[in-house]
Amino acid sequence: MKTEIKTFGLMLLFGSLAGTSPSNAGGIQYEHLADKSQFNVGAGGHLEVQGPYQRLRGDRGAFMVDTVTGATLATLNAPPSPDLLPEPLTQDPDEHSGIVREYLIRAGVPAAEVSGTHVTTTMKGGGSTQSAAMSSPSKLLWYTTHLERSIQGIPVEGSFAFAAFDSNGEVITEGVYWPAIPDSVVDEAVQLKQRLDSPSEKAAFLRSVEAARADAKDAAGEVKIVHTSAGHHGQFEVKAVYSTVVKSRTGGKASLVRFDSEAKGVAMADEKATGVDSPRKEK
Amino acid sequence: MELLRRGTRGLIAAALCLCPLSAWADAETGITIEAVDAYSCGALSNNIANVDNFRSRMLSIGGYNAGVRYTNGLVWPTDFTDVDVASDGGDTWNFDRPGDAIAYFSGHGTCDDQTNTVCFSTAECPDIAGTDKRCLLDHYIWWFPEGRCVYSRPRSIVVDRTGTSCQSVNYSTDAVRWGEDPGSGDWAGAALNGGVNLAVIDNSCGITPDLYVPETLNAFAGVSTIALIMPTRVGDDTADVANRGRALADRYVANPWSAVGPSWTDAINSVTGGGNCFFGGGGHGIDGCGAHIALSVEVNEARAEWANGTENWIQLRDDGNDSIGWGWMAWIYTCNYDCNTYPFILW
Repeated sequence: MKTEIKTFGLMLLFGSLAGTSPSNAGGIQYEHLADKSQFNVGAGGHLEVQGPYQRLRGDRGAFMVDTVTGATLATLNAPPSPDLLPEPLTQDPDEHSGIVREYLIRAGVPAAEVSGTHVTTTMKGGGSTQSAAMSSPSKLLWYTTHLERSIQGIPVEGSFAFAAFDSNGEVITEGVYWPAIPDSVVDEAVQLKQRLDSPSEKAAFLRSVEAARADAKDAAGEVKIVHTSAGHHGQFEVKAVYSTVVKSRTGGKASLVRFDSEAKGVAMADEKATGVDSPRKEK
Repeated sequence: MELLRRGTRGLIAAALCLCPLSAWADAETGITIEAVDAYSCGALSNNIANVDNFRSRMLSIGGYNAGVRYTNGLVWPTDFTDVDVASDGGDTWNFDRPGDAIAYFSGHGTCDDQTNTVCFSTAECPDIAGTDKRCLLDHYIWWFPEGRCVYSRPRSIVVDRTGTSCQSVNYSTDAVRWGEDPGSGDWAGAALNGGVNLAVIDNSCGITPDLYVPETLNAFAGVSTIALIMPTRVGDDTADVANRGRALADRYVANPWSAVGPSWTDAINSVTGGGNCFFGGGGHGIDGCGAHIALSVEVNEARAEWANGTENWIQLRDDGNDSIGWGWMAWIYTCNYDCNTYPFILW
């Protein structure tokens, strides 16, 4: 896989993927390109093209655009020493979320589709392996704030827009995948939600759900719009679904179980096996 | 005695090798994937797609190569146990092959570390012989935190070779040793016939909060980092999603010079699906509250911190960067909620 390295025309190439697309879609597409980003790649920034990925890379980090999906992801280079890991901007997650929300909306994430925020929390620690169990507290490294996407009150699963800031106000990491959602899918989701607001309609729907998958009937569920994930290079797929999380009866992984408006099971295109098994050895 | 032997050997090795980047190293580039959906103890649907998505994304740029791929009935319990420690062990041909850098398992685990015993501090949890205990925050009554007792029961990979009966592989105390090769030296009688530098265990209840040493030290035999999913509230668990592996691979594709351990924890930010966490947030491939955690073990703190927070995707392929002994464990994790404001252990 050959890597091309270019040092000129960065904005042209990065700018060739449009920012917010004017669209008749129910959900507006936003592509978070390098010129909208505060992520600092550091000195020696240059463009690398590797297959479908464009990467602006410097001595601090890299900002990558997946040219197939338009998803972006910026990450730091590994620090030369563990002592140089980022320090948190704040111990207050609300303060961090306010800053990230303002930053990403100013960059172009459609404010009308941002229905809330939440944080993820990165912490680190360590201790001697002589002790049977750890007892040292872990230390906050940084918060990452996510913008939650909803369209006409329907949550969208698969989209994300997140960023983390350090104590110097520099971006530690950020990622955006905010594809267009067709009107028809939004309409379908709204109609399904309205239908399930009726107790009798919902009871009838859940009977069909039970017939399709018995353990999903009693799981809490909600209507969502779900689309294929940021790294999926096949055809983009987006659906209106009734979505549930079914806990394992035997203590294993919980299953995400989705149904269409007729209570038929739904699997997305990127939830299919694509590989081929290797020949087995004796053991 | 075994711990002492390994510690002594590790100290000697550390003295000989002050720099984690060694010149003698051979490249380890293989990526092996194993996944099960066809369980007789509760079928799943996204594990095979999850590992396929991981590997295809990793191989979409240069640097790594395909190892082996086994799914469903081709995933055997002996794939994970050491060929020199267990008479029927077969990891050298499967999950811990010489020449492989990464092995990724996706499937069921067990959550027998969790109980519904109410506690307000760890000391209040009843002792269970042979285990360590913690009181895990569950909820607040007004402003008083109430928890549930959890224990360091051995953690398991669950497979189903026959399709009729699930089998567990206990990586906490059984004959599991990953990563031993010329770069790491012979660990715990495991010889030099392993290889992996990053083992990803994408299962249920992969590790219990704060009980990292008793639950994982056994498996470290040269592997730089073991990556797991850690539910942080009783009743919550890993969700069966197809995009977790690819979210990890995205970090490599985006920046091969990024650190591997933080890449795993940060991957939670790109994983979608799951259920809400009681303390806010949630989802990101977890049903409830939980975290991606990366653990590294080395002979001393400096080396463990390097492996956990600094080793990048290019250095991961270098046999010379293998862990060389027990001594210090470093960890980094990213919770899908604010686990700084809501610490998960009640002391």
